[in-house]
Amino acid sequence: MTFEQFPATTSASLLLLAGISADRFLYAFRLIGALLVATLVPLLIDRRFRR
Amino acid sequence: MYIGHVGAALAAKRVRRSIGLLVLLVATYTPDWVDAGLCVAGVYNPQEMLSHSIPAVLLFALVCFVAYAVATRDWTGALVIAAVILSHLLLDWITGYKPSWPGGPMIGLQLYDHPLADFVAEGVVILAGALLYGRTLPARRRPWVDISIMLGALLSLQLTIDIAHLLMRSLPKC
Repeated sequence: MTFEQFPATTSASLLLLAGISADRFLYAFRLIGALLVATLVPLLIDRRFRR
Repeated sequence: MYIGHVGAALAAKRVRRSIGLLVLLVATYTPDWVDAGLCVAGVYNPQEMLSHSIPAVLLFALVCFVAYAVATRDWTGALVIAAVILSHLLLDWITGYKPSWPGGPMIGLQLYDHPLADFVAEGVVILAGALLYGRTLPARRRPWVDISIMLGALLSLQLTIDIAHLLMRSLPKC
């Protein structure tokens, strides 16, 4: 890819260039996001209760 | 199971109050964190053999038991951590469809295909966990308010997930 072509690439193709398929990125993003929410929500509520 | 796993962590807090809730929450989601790590690393197994099979979860429970016991000298606490990790397997068999061992059968009721049934099953675990967790809180005039806040937040999260699952049934896996 030339320097001139670079701005025309989409984020999906940038992921492919990095060796990460869009499906894989979306799954990991979704799973890690859900895990963080499921961990942080009860944790923050608990902290508030015990203050 | 999704948010139902938090119910197991909350119930464990009642069993051993000295364990931090963050540790219990990480323990309860250990197989899912491993799943996410395998996906990011590019070695994801679609059958979740390395993260959700019986030998894999037994291994996580053993490693975390030893790590927690060595770090804190609290053997009972370490046993609780291991039990929380093992609960992931049992709870997933209610709502999911998971591998038993390499070459073995798949186990589970797959309630994910029936979001209402999934919500009820997860709700029961969340409710039991929240009620037990309520007993670990400092004494207040209206303790049910705290329990209701925790219960409401967790059930809302679960409802959101079940609705999302209903609307987007064919989301690609890793």
